[in-house]
Amino acid sequence: MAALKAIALIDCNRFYVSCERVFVPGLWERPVIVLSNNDGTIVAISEEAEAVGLKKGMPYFRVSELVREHDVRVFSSNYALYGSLSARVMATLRALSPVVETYSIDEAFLDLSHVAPTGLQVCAQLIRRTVRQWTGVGCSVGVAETKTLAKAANRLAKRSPELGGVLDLSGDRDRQREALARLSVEDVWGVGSRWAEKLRAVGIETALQLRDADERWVKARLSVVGLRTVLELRGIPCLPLQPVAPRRKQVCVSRSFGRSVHSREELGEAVATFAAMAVRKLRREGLALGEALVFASSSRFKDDPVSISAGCRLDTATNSTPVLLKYVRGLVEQLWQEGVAYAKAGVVLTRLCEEGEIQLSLFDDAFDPADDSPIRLMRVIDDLDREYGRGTVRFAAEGLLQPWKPRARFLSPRYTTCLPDLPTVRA
Amino acid sequence: MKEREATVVAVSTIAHGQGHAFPLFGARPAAGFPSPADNFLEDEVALDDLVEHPAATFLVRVSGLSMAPTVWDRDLLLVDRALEPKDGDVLVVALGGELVVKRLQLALGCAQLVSDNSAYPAVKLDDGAEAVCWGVAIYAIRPLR
Repeated sequence: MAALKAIALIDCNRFYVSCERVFVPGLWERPVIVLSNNDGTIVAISEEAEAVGLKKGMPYFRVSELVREHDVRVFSSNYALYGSLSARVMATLRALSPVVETYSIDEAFLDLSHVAPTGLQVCAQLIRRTVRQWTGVGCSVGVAETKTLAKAANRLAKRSPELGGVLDLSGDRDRQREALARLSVEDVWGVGSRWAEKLRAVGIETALQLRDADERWVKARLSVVGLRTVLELRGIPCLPLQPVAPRRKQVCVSRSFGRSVHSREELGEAVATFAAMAVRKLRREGLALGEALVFASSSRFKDDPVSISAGCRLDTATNSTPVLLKYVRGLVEQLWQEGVAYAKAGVVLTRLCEEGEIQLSLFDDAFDPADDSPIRLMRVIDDLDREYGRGTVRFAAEGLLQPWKPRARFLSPRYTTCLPDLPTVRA
Repeated sequence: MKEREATVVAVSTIAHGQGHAFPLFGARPAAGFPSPADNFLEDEVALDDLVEHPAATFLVRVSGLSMAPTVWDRDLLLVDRALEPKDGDVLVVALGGELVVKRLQLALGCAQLVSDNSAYPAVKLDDGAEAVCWGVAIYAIRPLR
């Protein structure tokens, strides 16, 4: 592996809140919160909302009074919008660097080896300004010789407003030492709460102390994964950039219900909807599935929680929704039990293969390789969904009213993915 | 909860080829002759080709008449956030807590946002009116039907 000289970690600031603000100037200085699936808890929060005492993780029903009192704007998670703006952020980054690894919906690593060391600070500032200007989303940039150090630099850049959202630690051992001393050990990328406990028990409380810990001890107590983290903190790259994500091995769609589900019909509708969503993801990536698993469970918080699953292998791999729904209907029959109040269900599709690699089965009478109408049907459905928004066309099995749907009472318009939802500008 | 009824509307046949551009790739030659055009095929033009910075370009809808006759109510605008605003550009601007569309006028050191429709007033930018440029309008798309 050719040694990268500099890696940047770009991390959007308060991403979901930023997304809600892009098209609505009236929100730019207001307190804003975004709720998790089912409008459960606060999952993103603006500075102004933090100032009135709200915090990430608080359940919405408990703070609705506070929200009303301070005129806090509330939003349900609008994944269509967030996904779309995330794609734009990543596309912007790709215009600025030849190698970009998308790490999460709002984070990416960039290879900045092509930039002269003295120009890295300015380059990082340019990245920050460009992302903000092009997409409307603010971000912080950390630069260093390794991913772990870049993450640390980014964390510190976010915390210290005097840095202007950018921190370049590459090539400066003194600044690295000073920065790592200010970072607590659980804030190091790769160190979770369990490891942090072990480390604090032996007096390792800062990233600097972890960096300087004995290698053999680290390897024995934290495994080779922990050792890699320590080496990366020392400026030795162990984790290469992965610009192309490895092909996925499964896709899972599951949701908690807005209210408990009792009937076989409702459970069937919900599962059919999740199956349609999951297989649509596969079609977008040119994949097909060979095996489907359906699971459902009752509330963890009530007595006698029930959790059950059923799976089956398909005769021939497919990515056609009606074909999958036939199998899924049978699986729901196996799953459903009288008297259970289902709180959540999901679908997992595995044994994935490329569309072009589908192996025909000798025993599958239903499959006619010369007939491409199922493929054309799915293409029309997918095109309509793309133009008018996801879920425009649904199969009857998915249900019409869908009362089990997770609550999303405060959804903003899908400004960038749905023509009827385009933002309005006043003339 | 009141039960809503589903209403079935007439199902219309979708006209063949409606709404998509497909390149004329060599169809499975039914009679064995490949198309002489095969070596010269190009991608169809599409509105995307008008966009220089796809990551920074957004579609918005206009509401109102202050920019007539340049831009009308119900027009769509392609707005590019990557461009630096220049004198005379039609801009989308954040003003007074909303997005508005106006023309930028830099005359004799005095910056203004003017409405092309003379019935509407201009906004002087130094009067404490806080305006932030949101993007530069590069194309207006007018629905004619």
